[in-house]
Formats: sequence, C-alpha cells, structure tokens
Amino acid sequence: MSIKLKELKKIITSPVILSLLIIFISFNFSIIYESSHFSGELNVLNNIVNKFGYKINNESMINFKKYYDSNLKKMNKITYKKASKVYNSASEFFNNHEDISNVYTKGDITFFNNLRVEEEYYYAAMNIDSVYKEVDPMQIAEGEIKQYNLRGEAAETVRSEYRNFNKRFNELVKNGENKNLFFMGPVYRMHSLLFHSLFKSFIFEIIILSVLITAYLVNYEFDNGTQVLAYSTKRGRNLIKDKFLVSIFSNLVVATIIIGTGLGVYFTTFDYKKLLKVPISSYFIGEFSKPYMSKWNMTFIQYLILGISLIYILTLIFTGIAFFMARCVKNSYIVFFIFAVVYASALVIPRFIPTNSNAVFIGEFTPFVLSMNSFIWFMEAGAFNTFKYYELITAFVWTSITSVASICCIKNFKKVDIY
Amino acid sequence: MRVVISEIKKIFNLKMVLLLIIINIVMYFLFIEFNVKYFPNGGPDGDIYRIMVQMQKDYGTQMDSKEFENFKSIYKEKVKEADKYIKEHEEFSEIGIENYNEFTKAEDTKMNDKDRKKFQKLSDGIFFDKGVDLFWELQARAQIIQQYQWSLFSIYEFPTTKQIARIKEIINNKSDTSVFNGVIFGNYNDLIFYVSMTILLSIIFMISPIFLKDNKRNITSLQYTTKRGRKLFKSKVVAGIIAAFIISTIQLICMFILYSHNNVGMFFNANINSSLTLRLSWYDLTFIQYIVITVVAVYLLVFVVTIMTMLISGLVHNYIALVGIQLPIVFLLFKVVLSNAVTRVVDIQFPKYSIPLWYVSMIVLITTLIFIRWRREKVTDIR
Repeated sequence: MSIKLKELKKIITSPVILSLLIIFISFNFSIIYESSHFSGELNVLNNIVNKFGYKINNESMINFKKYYDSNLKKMNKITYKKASKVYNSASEFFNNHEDISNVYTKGDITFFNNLRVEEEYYYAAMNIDSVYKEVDPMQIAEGEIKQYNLRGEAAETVRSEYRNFNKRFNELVKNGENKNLFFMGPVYRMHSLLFHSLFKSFIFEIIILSVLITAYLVNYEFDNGTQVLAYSTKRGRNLIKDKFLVSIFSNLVVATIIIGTGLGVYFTTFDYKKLLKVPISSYFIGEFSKPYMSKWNMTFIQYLILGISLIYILTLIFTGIAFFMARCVKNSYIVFFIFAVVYASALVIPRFIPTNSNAVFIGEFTPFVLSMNSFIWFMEAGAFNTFKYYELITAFVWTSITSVASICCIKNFKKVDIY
Repeated sequence: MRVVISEIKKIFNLKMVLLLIIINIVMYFLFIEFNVKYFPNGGPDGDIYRIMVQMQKDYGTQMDSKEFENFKSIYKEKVKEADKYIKEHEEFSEIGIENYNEFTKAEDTKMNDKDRKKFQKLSDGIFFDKGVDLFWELQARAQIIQQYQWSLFSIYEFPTTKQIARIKEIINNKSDTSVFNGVIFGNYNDLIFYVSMTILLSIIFMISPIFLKDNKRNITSLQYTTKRGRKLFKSKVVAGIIAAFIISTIQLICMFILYSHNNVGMFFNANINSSLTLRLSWYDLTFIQYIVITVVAVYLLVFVVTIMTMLISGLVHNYIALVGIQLPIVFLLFKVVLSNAVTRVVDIQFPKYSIPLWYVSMIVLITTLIFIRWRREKVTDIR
C-alpha cells in the first residue's frame, strides 16, 4: 500500500501537472464565462416550465397561449399609455422601435423582451409537427452517401444503417419525444456549448494529463537513473503493476476534478433544474437545420450521465494506450509526441480507404475518432457514426485491446533489460 | 566550429528526424493538403480564378474604367447565353422563370411551396448535379463586378482616422483597381499560416531536448571541466539557431514547390490592395513582395521560438516539465501570435506599427533573456 502512496506522491508533488490542471480548469471556466451573458434570458423558459410543465400538448399549449395573450395585453396597455401605439406581437414592437430607452423604463423593456422570448417559444412549439414531417432519415442517408461519395457495399451499409434508424425515428415521433420544451437551440446553442465546447476541452485536457502522468510514472525510474536499484529488489519487477494501477487511479481522479469543476460551474451558471427529465431528442435542443435525434429514448440527465461515463471509459482506454507506448519507448518526451502523431494519423488514415468497401467504416471505430465528436454521441450522426451500437462497440473493443496490451506489457516487463 | 557541427549532429539524430518527418506528413494531410491540392476549390472559386487569369491576360495588372466597361459587356453577353439556355429548357417556364434575371431573383420572389421545391431542385441540378459551367461563371463574374464597384470604406465598420487616410490614398493612386483576388490571396494566407504552424511545431520538437538531454545524462559536469568549458553554452545556442533555420528553410522550400502547382505566378506583380481582396495593407505591395515579407516574418518567429525553447530546455529538469511548460505556451503562440503575426503583418486592421513593434519587443525580450542566461551560466555552480 505504501508503495502505491509513494507513487501517487510523485504526481501530487509534481508542480507541472498541478499547474497544468489549474490552467485547464480556468480555461474551462472561461468557456462558460463567455456564454454566461444570456443565463438571465434562459430563466424565461424556466418560468414557463414552472407554470405549464415542459411537455407540449393541447392542454399546456392552451394555457400557454392564454398566459401569452394576457401578457401581450399588458404590454399593449403600457405602450398605449406611453406612446399611444398597439402591437400584434412583441417582436413587432422590437422591429419598429429604434429608440425605446427614452420612452420606456428599464423594467418595461425587460418585460417586453421576456414576452418576445415567450412568443418565440410558443410559435416554435406550434411548428414542431411540420418540421418533423420534413425529416426523412432515408433522405439524410442519400445526402450523406452523396457527400462522402460512397459507392457499392459501403453505400448499402449506410442505407441499412439508416433503415434501422428510421424505425427509431418513427418511434421517437410517436412517443412525442420531440414535443418538449428546452432552451431554444438555434438561439443559445446550449447543446453545443455543453457537449461540444466543454466536453471536447474536457476530453483533450484529460488526454493530455493522462499521457503525461502515465508516461511520467512508468518511466520515472529510467528518467532518474534509479531503475538498476529499484527493479533489482524482490518487489522490483512487480513495481510496474503499482505504477499501472496508480496511473489509472490518478487519471480517473484528474478526470473527476476536471469534469466536476467544469460541470459544477456550468450548472450553477445555467439553471437546468426543471429540465433534467426532458428527452434529449426534443425539437428545441436542435441547433441546425436537422434536429438531434437520439438512438434511444433518453432524458437529458441520462444522456449527460452516459456521456460522462463514456469520457471515463475513454480515460481508461487512453491510459492503456499511453502505458503501452511508455513501455515501448523509454523517453517520455518522445512518448508524448508519438501519442500525438498516432492520434492525428487515426483521424487522417480513414481518408485513404476506398469509399466503395465496408472497410471505410473500420477507421471510425477508434477512440480517437470517438473522442472528436462528443456532441453527437448516441445520436443520428452522419454516415459513419449512426450504427446503433457504435459508441458501445468502440468502447468495448478498445477497452479489451488495451487491457490485453497492458497485461502483456506487465508480463513482458519481468524479462526486460534494465541497463 | 567543430563543436557546433557536432551539436547540430546531436540535434539531428536519426530517431528524432524520423519522427519529425512523420509529424510533418501528418500535419500535411491534416492542414496543408487542402490548400495545395484543391486550389481553386470548385465553384465559384474555380471560376473566379479562371476569370482572373483571363483578366490578367487581357488587362494587365490593373483594370481601368474602360476595361471594366469591356468586362461588364462580356457579362451581358454571357447573360444572353444563359437566357437562351433557360428558354431551351421547359422546366424553367413551368415555374414562371423566363430569363436569367428572374432566375437569380427567384429566391426572393413569392411562390408557393410546390414551386419553391421545384425551383430548389432545378437550381441544385444546375449547380451541383449537372455542373453547368455557364451559371457558375455568371455568378463569379457578377461577384467580381459587384466587389469592384464597392466602396473600400464599407470593409471597415468603424474606421479610424488613419485607416480613412490610408483608404483615401489607395483610392487616389488607383491600386484598388489591381487585378488580384481574395480567392488567391486567402489561399496563400491559409497556406503560409498552416506551414508556419508546422515549422514552429517541428522546431519546438527538435530543439527542446538540447540542454535537457545533456543535463539528464550529467554530461554538463564533464563539459564544464574541459578547456572550452562554459563557452559550450554559446556553441549550443548557435547550433540550435542553425538547426532551426535548416529545418524551416527545408520546409519553406517544400511549401513553395507545392505552391508552384497552384499557378498564381501571373499575379506576382499585382498590387495586393485590390478592391477584390477585401483586405487592405498599409503599404503598396505587390503580391511577390508580400510573400517575401511573410517569409521574413516566419524566420523572425522561428528565431524567437528557437531561443525561447532553448531557455525552457535549460530551465527544466525532466521531460514531463518540458512538455508541460511548452503546451500552454504553444497554445497561446498559435492562438494569439501566429494568427495575426504572419498573415496580418501589413494589414490596416491593426495600427501601422503595432505588429512590427510586436516583433521588435519579442526579439529584444528574448535576446535579453538569453544574455542574462549566458551571464548566469558563466558563474553558475557545478552540481
């Protein structure tokens, strides 16, 4: 036990790793801070959800409409009194007025603005059915095939992949998963902020620290010239096990610190409390022309937890890969660059696979590609990543590969030269 | 000199060079390939490029008002051809489009959903499926005419007085009529940006171990006791700088060999302050002069980064610290310095002397630091 603690101490007392950790955490904070200016406007939705719930059905919409109409009347009362004008909607008011700050008080303007936001939610909610009528998974498939110039069996695979997804899509619409209120996607881009900007920087930071920590620990004795002494003792060659376990443990701790602080600040800045159980396929989460459509019926909180678990699994996989590399190359400086090169080539190599064979999909099933697109995990995600079990297969296969490789490395270490 | 050569040999050891080549190959495919392999990239960029080459042949480096009239008349002729195409194809008249003018405005006119879908399909068919060159070319020509007529003042929302003075100067000496285009300019800027990124990364990778490697092997105590002794520090710095310049020169040569396939040589004598580039410079430079300036800028950055890397290398005691300190610095360097310091050296977006001043201060700072380091090296204790 005390050996493991001593190994851990090497990391805790390393100023570089600690200062990198602090830099990374403050970088995450800066990402959140840049978007924090609209956290007030988000509360308009929280207010609506408080009153009518997040589910969109006839009843809630009628109540919403009543509420909206009464507020519009209130607005018109104010505008009539102060400028003797009446408007059909709040957006009309904002379109027609250039100098509003002289006529109305600050409170008035906030009220009008909130009304404008409510209005947008209302009309978007009424429009959902017509949007989903336009979505046709098979057409998406054809578009993808054309875009990536897929031919032959590869094109067939994409079609069958999307035929499977089509079933799920119909189920999604039938369940009414899309008909739920959430922060307006195209305006605030909350999904991209959380699952793209923030998650991606989490993943990169964890990868960098994992590689540094693992390479540091594994090659510590070689770096400091203590290998001849340390590995010739009775415990000696078994030290590698301690190093392996401690690097896994500390990488998981690092991941927890990074994710914990990041998400902690994120959820205190943006109030999600009322929306945790909204299905992730909600129409309002969609940000671009195509809505987000999950492969399973999941709520936001389930999706978040699943995403975090996948990050933890990726941490383990990357630790394994770094461990393997650090065992092959004794210089931790080179290890870092080799890792970077492998990572980048894993993104480049799939381009060279001919687009008419199924081999083109194999290149996608790597943790490197997986770590690049966190915001479409477990969702319809284009020709290459819509396979129903894409994330799970990748995670499982690579966990197995890296565990086998790590065990081999540990076994092999018993016989290695320690000059 | 012999020592310097031996030090350079140490930097270029086989393992490192191999890895360096692999790094460069990966960087090439990630960032650079696109700018040399797919130039000009499809429509309308490809058509703009073709038209610009033709313009260069017909009008020379500048297009005066007479030549511009000629250019417009060519456009009108092409529109007639398009009118004919539209008359020959019945699908257009079905949704009420009789000529090219109506075709371009169809997006904004009111039509029912069915017709709109039909139009969308038709226009996608023309541009993407069939790839009718004529329509792409018309788009490109219209864009050039429009940009040519734009006021240069509209580029900047809130121009400063100095910017206004400079824009007036450009209009007065007519360099805005230069036959040069943002498609060509942007392509070069993207290329030099990614190449300089690759160069700096390669240099940091190669030079970083220079002092640390000897420190770790305890060779320094041996070196200090030789006759040459502490002066070795100087030789190492010189070796590092020479090695960095060798690496960057090779990479720049490779880049220009690749770039020569883009066939933009005819524009070398064109003024870069064209109204078609949408980016203005403080000086009246030709394209080739601009290229030389960016290359000089890259070399200056290489110098600064090399010295910085060597300073860090002498400071740390293990490889993890080396990577850990370099990471945030490299991130800042690429994100803040590199994105402005190479491709915007002469851009009027910044005050005239700000970026040259960046360079001067960076160089002064880094040279002072290395001198301080040398003076400390002379009196440092042997551990």
